[in-house]
Amino acid sequence: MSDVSLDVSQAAFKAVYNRVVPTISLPFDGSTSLGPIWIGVEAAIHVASAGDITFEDSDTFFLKELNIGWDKLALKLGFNIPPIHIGRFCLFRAPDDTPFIGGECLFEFPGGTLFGGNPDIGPIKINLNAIIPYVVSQISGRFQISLVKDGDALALKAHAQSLDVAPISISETFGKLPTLIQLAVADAAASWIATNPEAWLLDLALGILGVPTLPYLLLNLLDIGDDAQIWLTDKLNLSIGIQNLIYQAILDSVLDKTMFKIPDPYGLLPTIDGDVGDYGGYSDPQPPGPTVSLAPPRADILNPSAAFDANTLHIRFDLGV
Amino acid sequence: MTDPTLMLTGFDSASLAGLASIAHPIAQVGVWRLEAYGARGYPTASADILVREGGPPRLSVDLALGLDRTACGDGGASLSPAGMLNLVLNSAREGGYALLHAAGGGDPTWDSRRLVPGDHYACMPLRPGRYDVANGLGTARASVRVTWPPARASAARPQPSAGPAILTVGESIEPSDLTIAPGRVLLFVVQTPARLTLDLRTPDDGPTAR
Repeated sequence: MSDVSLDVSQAAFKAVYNRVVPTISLPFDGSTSLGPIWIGVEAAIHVASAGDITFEDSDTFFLKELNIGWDKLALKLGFNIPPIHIGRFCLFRAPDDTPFIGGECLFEFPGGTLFGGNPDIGPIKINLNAIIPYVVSQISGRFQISLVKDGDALALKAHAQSLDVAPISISETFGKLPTLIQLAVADAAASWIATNPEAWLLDLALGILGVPTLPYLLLNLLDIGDDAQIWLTDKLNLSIGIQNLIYQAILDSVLDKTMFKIPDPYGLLPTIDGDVGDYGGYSDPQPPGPTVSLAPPRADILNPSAAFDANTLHIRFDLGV
Repeated sequence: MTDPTLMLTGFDSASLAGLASIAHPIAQVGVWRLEAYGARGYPTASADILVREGGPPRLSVDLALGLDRTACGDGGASLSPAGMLNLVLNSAREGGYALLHAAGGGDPTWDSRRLVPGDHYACMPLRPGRYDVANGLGTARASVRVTWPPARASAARPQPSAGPAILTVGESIEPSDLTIAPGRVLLFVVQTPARLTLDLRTPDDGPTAR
């Protein structure tokens, strides 16, 4: 049996964990190219609190939900207008009765390419802060506890053993999302047209492509379809891999949390100050003054251990006295 | 990025560049030497061309790339009698021209800066507006209007490769006033010595509300 045994309830443990887990805002970004469009995300989250905690056998606990708050969410888009190749084509042929080369093409026109750039338009940023309330993100994890020496203390640490970030979902935004995207694309197109001196070339390209307006072309390239929520979650989760970005953003902050500390050596009593006379005098050496301070009795912590048992965390150690 | 050759608003057959090309027939069997020059007259490349029965009907040569390695291959180039040299210069930075010599050397038998009857010149103006067309070796003038691209909503996918608009260059240029859609090729049939120029006089900036 250990010299000292401390018991911490699951409720108390959860309360303490909720005090140490919140983080400052954690920014992250990522992007990818998808054929004619380039899409990226620029966001910031913070860990707000911990949900249910379940003690497991031995030295691990399962955190059913880590609640995160979104501080910022923006979509970035770039567009490559599809290249339009002009030529090569035959301008005229030799008359059929020409010896050897009758009917053959004698003069071929060289070609050229409109819009071969990358990207032609963008990046444009679509602020999605308005839909943050509808973004659902679920994060769970398994954590391992351990007692480690930390200066003049023994610290109870919770290490992330695994962290599972589920794909985010967006609940019904009541029309906000499609409107946001359409307005942003229209704005971007208008600003591009206003600053691009070669608008005639764009009109020519749109004429060849058979689309009425630049926003129409850009929305076509985005291929949003009937459900903007599904489109956005697909792009964020599957194309950009936002789970990985969230994982990387929060991993460091929750990787190694100190829950609490026990002083080591452990102070058994406080320092005792007293009058020299109270102790019957000293033969040698003589105290320098009329008062004396007795060092507090302290003991090193030996054989520390921390383990869960049903709904209780047991911390045990011996005292080196 | 848009190919800068597509942005040209002026064409000159004596300084080949951009979306333009010259065709010159070679009727006589034999070996010919083609020399390419940059805009300031420095030679850029040369190659021997064998005109023989059974040769190909046309020989495309990009004056910007050089002849020996790219256009003609290691074994030189060949062409059928009455076949045509197709000259282009795939660069918007500066123009160029070419001289053709008979095998024995001497003065050039043909200078691309001075087109002769039988030659053809083609160019594709894209920028909407009105262009002045002139033969610098004569007095013939004409005008070409390139229209603004068709209404986009109802665009029937115009094909730039739709047949060329043909102009005949003799004592006059016929037709003298022509309207084409952007991306349509102007094909000049040369019937008198000519240096053909096309210059954008009045750009058409299209509808203000887009």
